[in-house]
Amino acid sequence: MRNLSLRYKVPLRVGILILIVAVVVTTSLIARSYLIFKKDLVVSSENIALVTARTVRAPMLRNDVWTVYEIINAPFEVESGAGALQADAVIVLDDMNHVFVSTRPTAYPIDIDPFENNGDLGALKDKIIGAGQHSGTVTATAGSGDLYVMTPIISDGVILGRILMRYPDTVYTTRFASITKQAVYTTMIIVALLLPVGWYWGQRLAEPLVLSRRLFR
Amino acid sequence: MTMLTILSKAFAGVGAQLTVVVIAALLSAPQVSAQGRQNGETPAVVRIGVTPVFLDHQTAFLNEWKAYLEKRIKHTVQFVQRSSYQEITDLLLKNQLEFAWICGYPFVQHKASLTLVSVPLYKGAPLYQSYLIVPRGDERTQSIFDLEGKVFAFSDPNSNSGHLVPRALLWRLGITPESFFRKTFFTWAHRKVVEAVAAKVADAGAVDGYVWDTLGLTQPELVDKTRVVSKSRRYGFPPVVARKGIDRTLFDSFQRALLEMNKHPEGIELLKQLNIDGFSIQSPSLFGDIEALALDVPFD
Repeated sequence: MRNLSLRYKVPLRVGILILIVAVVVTTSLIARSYLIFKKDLVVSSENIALVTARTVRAPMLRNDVWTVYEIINAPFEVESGAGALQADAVIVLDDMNHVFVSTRPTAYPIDIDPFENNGDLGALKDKIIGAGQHSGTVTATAGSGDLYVMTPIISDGVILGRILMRYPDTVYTTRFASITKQAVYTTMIIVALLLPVGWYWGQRLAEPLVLSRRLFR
Repeated sequence: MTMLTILSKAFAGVGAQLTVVVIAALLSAPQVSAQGRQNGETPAVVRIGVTPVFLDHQTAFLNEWKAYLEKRIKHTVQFVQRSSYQEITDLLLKNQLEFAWICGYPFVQHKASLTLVSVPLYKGAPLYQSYLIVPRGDERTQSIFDLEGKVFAFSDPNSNSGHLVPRALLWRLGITPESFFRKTFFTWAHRKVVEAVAAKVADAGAVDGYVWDTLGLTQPELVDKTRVVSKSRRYGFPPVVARKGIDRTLFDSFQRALLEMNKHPEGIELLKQLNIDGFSIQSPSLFGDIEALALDVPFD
């Protein structure tokens, strides 16, 4: 490298600089996108949980299991696009923290205790039951990486139950992989455009230096 | 005595007399319904009550049927949809409907206030059955008595096939659904009982056999997720009824329109969509078995 002519050394260094800057900028953009995406996911899912909690309040007061089921199951009946933010399970708990109804009736049958024999939910039990004591929505990531959003269902200050929405960790990984892929492709295209330009400018920059070296030899 | 006092006493007397006259006039006036319609008077719009217990998500069909009936009875027809048999029955009893398609159970409960118009014919007879259904994968359940501690779906509290029949079955052994099953709920439509069982939200359900059979033709993928465990004896098919005191000409005209549906191409097409053979005239005694069930079974 030391014996390389300036004619090549300068454009090479320009090229390496372009690559380093591209990698650094892309990495920081990806990291930032991930953080923003995660925050958006939490905010969106909390909003969805709050709206759902309000919508199921009236039928819960009437103990209308089927209407509550139709409400929480409605999003699953509509085909969503790839990468769409959608919970893979919604569980409505009653005031005894038993399942009132869920979108996964085989995994969470009506009237059973969902915390028994369930690693994720068992670990989050205190947090789940704690949701609503101060009328708040609680978000927590389970050991499996799944995100749980818990919101109380309140009527006239009385907690009728809780809504639990589960987002699988693939919601992150799928979207994150998509964002990363796009960022990498974009960077590669930009680098592919900049490298020849950088090489050309580097050579132009090096030309007077090469000439002056020759003159002073 | 001042002039004011004299006048007050005079007008008080007149006022009292006027009050009495007005009250007497009001009391002797004929009963008029909310739409200014008297018993026996032909309404401007003929209102027919239907529920999703039976006719669910069939807006296009009801529009076609409305057009057909309007042509036959020469009246404007309005189908009034409500969520439950109770709501429709209440509207009938308050003269806010002229006709309704209800279940045999609310008919026998209020037969003193309702008149039988006609009864559909299904598989050649004015009869149907209650089916006990479970999810397709459940091969173990052979009767309702195998479902202790399970979740059970009914259709409507006033449905014979979707509530009264299974309740009566348990009551033969002195059992109530509330004590026998882990949880019970109403779906307010027979189709939704099938959905609840197919989705395994409920471990079992009671459904109108006619509805299950018809869904087998229109939505076989739904019905295929369920299995019929048992079928009840046959009961009077849900009838079309009229409120008491309805105009006789209108009653006859509407009844004829139903009875002659199988004589007109549009009527035949509508009957095909309903999956029934036609409408018939039957005696209220057809629902005697439902009445006997209703008398036997206590409700909490």
